[in-house]
Amino acid sequence: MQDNTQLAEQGWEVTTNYIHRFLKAEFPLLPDEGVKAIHDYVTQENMLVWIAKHLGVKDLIRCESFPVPPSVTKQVFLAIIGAVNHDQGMQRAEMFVHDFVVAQLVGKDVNAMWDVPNPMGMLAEILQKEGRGEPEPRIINQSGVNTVTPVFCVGVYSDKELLGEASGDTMPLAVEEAARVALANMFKTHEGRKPLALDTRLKTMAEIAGKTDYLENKS
Amino acid sequence: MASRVQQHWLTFSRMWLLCDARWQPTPELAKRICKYLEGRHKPVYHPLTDCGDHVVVINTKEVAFDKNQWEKKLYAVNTGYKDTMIAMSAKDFHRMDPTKVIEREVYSELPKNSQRQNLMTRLHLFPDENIPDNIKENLVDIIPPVMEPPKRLDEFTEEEKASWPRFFIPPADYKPAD
Repeated sequence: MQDNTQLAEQGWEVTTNYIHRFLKAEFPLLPDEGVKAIHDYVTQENMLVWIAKHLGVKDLIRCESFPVPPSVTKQVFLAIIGAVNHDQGMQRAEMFVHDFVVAQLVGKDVNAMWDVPNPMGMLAEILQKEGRGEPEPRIINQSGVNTVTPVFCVGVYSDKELLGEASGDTMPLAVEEAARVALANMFKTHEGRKPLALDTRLKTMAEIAGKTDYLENKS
Repeated sequence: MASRVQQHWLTFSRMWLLCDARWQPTPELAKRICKYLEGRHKPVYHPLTDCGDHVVVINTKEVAFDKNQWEKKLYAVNTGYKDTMIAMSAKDFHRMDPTKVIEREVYSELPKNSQRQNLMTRLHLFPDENIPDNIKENLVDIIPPVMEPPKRLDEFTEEEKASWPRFFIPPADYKPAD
């Protein structure tokens, strides 16, 4: 039996590459750290092991130790992607990644994957770079201020234009949440955005991402 | 839209609403307050979710009764002494404590279950417009009135009186027949 390390590396290259291109095409305004965060979420060991388990990869594994360690399952899964790439070409391998790995993003809160410690600061930086007014948080509504269950609705404004609105348990929390919503609106990863382009065929995605070289070898 | 946790918190948060009882018909006002106390004005209402709001009622001393209800309507009052239950007219009851009429009416309109006591603690009654500061700061919104209080003749301006439509304007020397 040959070692699957090389195939696993190939598989990892294909996966990482495709996910980055997909996310950049899907969220063009999201900064690199955000894209990396989503990529890290979708390719984390737990996720890949879960996908592998449900695809029946368990039956394909020959391993010394039992139970099979997650790192081995992950390596086998990536080796399978590498094998598809080796045997049937990059397009088929990427379709595999598209259908099984990228599809795990459906229904997930993409903004929660990127841990931004100071959203207000980040928002101020971005607005300054764009030459817009600095962010101003203002109270839109508040209820039960003197009770144990208050609600503060806060909006973040820049030059009197509403960027994002959110509510919170305490005032600082509401301001932070509103800044997060403002960032999500700017990066177009807000809750009301159009769904992930998962039904788009690979060709269109390649066109969007601007990489059509490998498609010319299509038989 | 914010994260799902925050949105959930906002949907089920408890509001503090203001109600002005000035010249409002008492039974209809009680029904309306009841609706807001239970939370039936929310699309997420369910009796088990405890989604009702706080209602702060001001000007309860100026609440209105129809026809001669002030004299006719009787409230049972327990004096605390043995074998003595008194039936007081609404007028005397209101004179005794100006918030009690609305309190009794809302208590009878609420569903007769174990929720009732809880909901009554969320009803805050004040005879006039003086509200404690800590409650005033909690308020968010207003309950729409049952009816707009009618204007007295002296509350109309001269232009309104002059431009009011009239069927016929009598001549200056007109004397009505006896």
